[in-house]
Amino acid sequence: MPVTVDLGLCIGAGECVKACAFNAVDVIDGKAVIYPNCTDCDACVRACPTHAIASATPSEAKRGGILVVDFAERSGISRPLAQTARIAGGNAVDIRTSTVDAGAAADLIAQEAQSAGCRIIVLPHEHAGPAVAARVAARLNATLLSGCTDITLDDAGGVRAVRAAYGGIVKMTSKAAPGNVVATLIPRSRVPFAGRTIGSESAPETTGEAPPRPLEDARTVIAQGPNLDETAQNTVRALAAALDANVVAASALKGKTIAPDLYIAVGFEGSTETNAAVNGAGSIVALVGSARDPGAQIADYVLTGDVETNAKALLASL
Amino acid sequence: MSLRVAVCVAAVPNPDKVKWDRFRQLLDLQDAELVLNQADRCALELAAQFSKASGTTFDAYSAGAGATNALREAAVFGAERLVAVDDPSLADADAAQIASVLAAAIAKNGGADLVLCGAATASFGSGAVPGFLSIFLDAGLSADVVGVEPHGGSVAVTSINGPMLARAAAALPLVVSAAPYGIKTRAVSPILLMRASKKPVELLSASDLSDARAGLSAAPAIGAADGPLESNRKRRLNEVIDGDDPPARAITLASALRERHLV
Repeated sequence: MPVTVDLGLCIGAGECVKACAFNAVDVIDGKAVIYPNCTDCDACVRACPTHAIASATPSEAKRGGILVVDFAERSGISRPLAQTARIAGGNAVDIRTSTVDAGAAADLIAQEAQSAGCRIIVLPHEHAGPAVAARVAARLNATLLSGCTDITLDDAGGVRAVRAAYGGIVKMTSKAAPGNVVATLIPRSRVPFAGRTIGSESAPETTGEAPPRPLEDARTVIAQGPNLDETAQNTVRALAAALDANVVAASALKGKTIAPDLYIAVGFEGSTETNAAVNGAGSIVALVGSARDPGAQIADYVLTGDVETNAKALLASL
Repeated sequence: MSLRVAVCVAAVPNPDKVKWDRFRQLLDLQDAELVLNQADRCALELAAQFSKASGTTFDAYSAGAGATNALREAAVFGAERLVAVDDPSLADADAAQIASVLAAAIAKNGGADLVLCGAATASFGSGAVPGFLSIFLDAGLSADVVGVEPHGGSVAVTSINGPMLARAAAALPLVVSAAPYGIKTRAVSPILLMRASKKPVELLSASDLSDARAGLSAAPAIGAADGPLESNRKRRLNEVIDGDDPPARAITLASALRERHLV
């Protein structure tokens, strides 16, 4: 039986066409069309950026709910996991909880997982997430997979995760046998998190603003050029909020060395000095005027043309 | 009542010297000497500040290879006793096993009311040790903490709570995972390090702790089967995304970044 397409969600991005090894999908009039030779391999399901394609026959072995836990109004893990949940043949149960008392939060999460019948619990690999996850894993006698960049389910119902180590220099693939699994996922772009809140609703006593994350610890860094106008700078700020990125003036990179997972130069043509500063980045994107700019020479992806238009389009596509 | 305070620290290969050997296709740790894990300095600083405010002392514990190196620097922060558990059986130990050994060492020395740890190591960075310790020691857990103060017979903890700092009283015993930033740590000069190196380190083996380990809460999580380490740095693509339609080009870029698990 072929996969199914939710035409309301389909934007005709064409990623399904690229992903399909059987030429069983096409985009016609801006919408994905599935042909009868579809093998239901789920490659398109995983590739679809808007989660418009659903697996037709998830095997019983794959079934099992996923409990997605986050601590904030905007989550960096809920969207990638919604996809995994669909592959698992169930919906994710999203919950929010406060971590002011991390031990109590962990115990509540373990109880919630048991009552919801979820065997996979995923938390963000940031702030209190890793410590809470370990306690939840211990409570549930679960396998712990921490610092994941990707989580997928295998046909036997086990969990396969790609995990980064040594500051992202290396990665490894870890496998957990079918059973309870607690994982922490490195957050990606933030989307509103509509999770149900559990635990104390009372606001804790606040003593000031949280300290800013240092540039060296940022997973995503956006460097903005000196000639961006106010509107363009606002777009950069919005892009940074969506990507949970640190924004830095390009000139401030001189003499530094940073190695974020993703570095985006916006309206900054680059120089030998700044190229050296960011060369350790996992991936580099340059939104620049010309592909001949020095910054574009070391980039993985280059978008040329009007910088503000490109930044706005990128923000809209996230 | 004087609180018993412990800090758990780890030694990691010097992150500045860890590199991927692309010819031999392996992680090159040859020049990376074992040093105190950076995030553990934050835990040590919190312990030093708490000790000053409460008039107590604190002990430092470390398990695994390089434990003694890590503890030398811990002494600079004012640790009273330095306890190292170095044993060949810990060579491939996971976070739960390390936590179990640390908990046993703390229990053997009379237990602790307050245990502080760094957020995660610079090597595998699971950040799981504080959570496991809280289970082994039957203690509460506070995470992402930037301040701990005495509060009557207990403690008050200030932690990062979204965009704000939240302060709350916490019951003892308590395991605290220090935030990796937002804590100003003291400078460690070579002279201070040299003085600290004269401080004795108590060495324990895994067998010294067998009785104490047996008395801990049940062993927690199950480790996963890990594959070999691979390079995570890809060759630069230098791909100019062509086209006349900015939204279409942006969707192509966003899809590529999603495929790389970056957005």
